[in-house]
Amino acid sequence: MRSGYSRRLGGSRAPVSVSALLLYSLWVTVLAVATSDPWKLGFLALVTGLPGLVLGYRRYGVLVPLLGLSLLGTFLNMLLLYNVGDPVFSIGPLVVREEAWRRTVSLDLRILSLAGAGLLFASTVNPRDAVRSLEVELGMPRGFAFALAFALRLLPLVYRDLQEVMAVRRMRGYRRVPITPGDYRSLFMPLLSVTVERGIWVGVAAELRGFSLRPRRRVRPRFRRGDLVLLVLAVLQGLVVAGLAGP
Amino acid sequence: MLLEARIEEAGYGDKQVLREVELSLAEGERLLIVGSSGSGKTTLLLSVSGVLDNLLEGYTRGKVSLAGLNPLEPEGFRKVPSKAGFVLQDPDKQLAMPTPLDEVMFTLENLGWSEEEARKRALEVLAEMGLKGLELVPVENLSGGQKRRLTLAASLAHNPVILFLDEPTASIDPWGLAELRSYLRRISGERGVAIIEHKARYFLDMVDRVVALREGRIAGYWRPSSPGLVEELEDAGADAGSYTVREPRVSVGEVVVEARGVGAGYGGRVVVEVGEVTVRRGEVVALVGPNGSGKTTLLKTLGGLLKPVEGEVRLRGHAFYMPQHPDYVFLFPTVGREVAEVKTATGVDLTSLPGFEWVKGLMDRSPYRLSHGQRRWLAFGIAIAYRADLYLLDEPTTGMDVGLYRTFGSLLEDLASRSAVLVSTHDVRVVAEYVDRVYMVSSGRVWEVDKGYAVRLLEEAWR
Repeated sequence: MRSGYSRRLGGSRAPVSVSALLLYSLWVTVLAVATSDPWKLGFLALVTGLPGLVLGYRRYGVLVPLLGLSLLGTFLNMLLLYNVGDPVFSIGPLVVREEAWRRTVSLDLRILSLAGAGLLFASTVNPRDAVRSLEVELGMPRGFAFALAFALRLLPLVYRDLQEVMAVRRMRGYRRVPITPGDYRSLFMPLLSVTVERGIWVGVAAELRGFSLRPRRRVRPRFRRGDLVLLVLAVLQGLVVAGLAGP
Repeated sequence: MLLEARIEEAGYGDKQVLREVELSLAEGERLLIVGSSGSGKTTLLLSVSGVLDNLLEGYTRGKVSLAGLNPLEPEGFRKVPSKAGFVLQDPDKQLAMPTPLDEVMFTLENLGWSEEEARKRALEVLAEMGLKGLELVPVENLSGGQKRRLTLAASLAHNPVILFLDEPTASIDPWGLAELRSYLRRISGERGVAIIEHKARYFLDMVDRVVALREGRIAGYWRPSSPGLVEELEDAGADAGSYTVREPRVSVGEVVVEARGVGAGYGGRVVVEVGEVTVRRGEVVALVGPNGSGKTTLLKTLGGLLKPVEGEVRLRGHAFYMPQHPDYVFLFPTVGREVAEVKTATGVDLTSLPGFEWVKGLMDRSPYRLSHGQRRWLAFGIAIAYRADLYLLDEPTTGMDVGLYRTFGSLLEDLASRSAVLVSTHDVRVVAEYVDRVYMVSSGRVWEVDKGYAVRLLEEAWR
C-alpha cells in the first residue's frame, strides 16, 4: 500500500477539474464587474468571496495585508472624492456620508468577490496542473496558461517583497499604514519593479527550458463530481445578478 | 566543439556591449568566464544562447554554433534547450513552479516527455541532487543551496551536452557552494560546462581554462596553472583569491544595541534564541551561518522591525536596515525625487557625498533602470544620509565585483567611524578585512566566535 506522500508523488486526483474552476472564477469575475448593486455584490461575496478567502487563507494568508490595504485605500479614496449626502456615521471629527459609504461598500464587496474567486482557483490548483489542463483541456495558448500558473508561484514572493519594502519605509520614517495616493505609489513601485524584472527572467528561463517546444496535446475535458457543484453555484449567482432571483 | 562563437559585436539597441569576442568549448571541458560587473559576462551568455537576439531587444553580429545549431536564427534558438542547460543567476528569477517535482517535470514535459516518464526521471534527478524527500516541499521553503541544486536539476534532467551557469555562487552560503562544486564535478563527464562568475577563486581548482572579459572584449585566456593568474584575474575585476585578515579595532564606543535572552522569530515561533548579542558604536560585527538559519530575522529583530517573541532588545538610537535587494530601498519614480526626498528628510544632499557625483547626471532616470552596481550604490547613499546609530546590512556584497567591493569597504569603514554596523554575510573577504567581531547563527542559536576561527570556517566550508 502506498503512503500519502508517495501517492502525491504519483500525481494529483482533485475532485474538481482545473478547467471548471477557471471558468467558474472567470464567470464570478465577470458578474462582479457587471453589477454595482451592493446587495448583489454581497451575494457574490458570500457565495464565492468568503469561501475563496477561507480556502485561500492557509496557502496565501500572506495576501491578507495586501487585501486589507486595498480595502482601506478604497475607503480613503471614496472619502476624498465622494463624501456627499446624508451622514451615515462619524469617526471622531470625520463625518462619513452616504455616497462615500455606498461606493466603499460596493467596491469592497467587488474586491472581496474578485479576490475570493481568484483565491478559490489559486489555492486549489497546482500551477503545473493548471498549465497542462488549461492548455490540453481548454486549448488555451500555452503562453497565457504559463503566465497564469506563474502568477500562482509569484504570490508568496510578492509577500516577501512587501515585507522588505515595509521595513525600509519604516527605516526611512514613512507611515506603516499607507494613506495618501503617494504612499500607495511608493509602496507599489518597488514591488512592481521587482516583480516585472522577475517575470522577464522567468520567461527567459522558461524559453531556455524548451517552453516553445512544448508539444500541443488536446484531450476532451473529464467531468468530475465537484464540477456539478460549481455549475449550480455559477447559475445561481448568474440569476441573482441578472435580477431573476434573490435580493 | 560544442560551442564556437565569433562575435564581432553584440549589445542592446544603440548600446554596444561586446566587441570581437571569440569563445569555444569542447566536449568534457570546463570553462570559467570572469570579469567585473558590466564587463559583458551575462551579455555573452545571452548572446551565445540566442536569448539576446530572439527574446530581448538586442543584437549579435557574428557567428555562433552551439552543439551544431545556430542560436541566432529563430529556428536554431528553438532547439537550443534540447542541447543545452542553463542555470541563471538568481533562483527566484528562474524557478517557475511551486515544488521541486513540478519544476523538473516542467522542463521534461516541455521537451516532449510523457507525464509518467517525466515524473520518473524527475524523481531520479532530484534524488541525485540530494533533494530526495523534498520533492513536494514548496519552493519558497527551500534554502538558497537547495534552490540552487533545484535549478541544476531542472537544467540537467534531459541530459544536455552543454551546461551554462551564470554566477552560480550568488546567494548561496559556503556549505551550499561546497555542494554545488561537488555536483558540478559529478555531472561534468563528456558534457561541456561554462561557468560565468566574478568570484573566480571558487572554481579555479576545477576548470580547464579561464577567459577574462574587460569592457566587452577578451582580456586574456589562461590555464589555471598559468603563473601570475591571480593577479591577472584581479586586474580584470574578478575575485581570484587574495585577502588579508585584519586585526580587530580596539577602540570602540558605547553599546548601541543589546539583546539578552531574546527569542527572535515570527508569529510566536522562535527561530533564533539569543543568549547575548551586543554591537557598539565604532565596530563592524558580522552574523555568519548557513542560509535559512535566521540571520535576517535576527537583524530585523535587533533593528526593531520585528518584535521579539521572548525577551527585550535595547536599541539606543535609530537603526537603518538595508535589504539584500537594493530596489526595495527606492520609494520614488526618479533618482531626482529620491535625492530631493532624502534631502528633505535628512538635510543631506546625496550628490555632494564623496563617490556620488555620478548621480547628478541621472536625475531624470528611474532608479529601477540603473545598472545593478549603481542601484546598490544609490541605496547605500540613501542609508548613509539617514545617519543611523545602527546599520543592519543584509548580504551587502552579493553580486559585487572587486572594484565595487573595495569602494564598499571604504564606505563600511566610514560608517563604522560614527555608527555601529551589523552585517549578515557569507563573504569571507568581508569578515577577514572589515569585521571586528563575529556571531555564528546556526541550529536556532547564536553565539560569539573568534574572528580567525570564523574566517577559517567560511574558507574551509566551501572547499
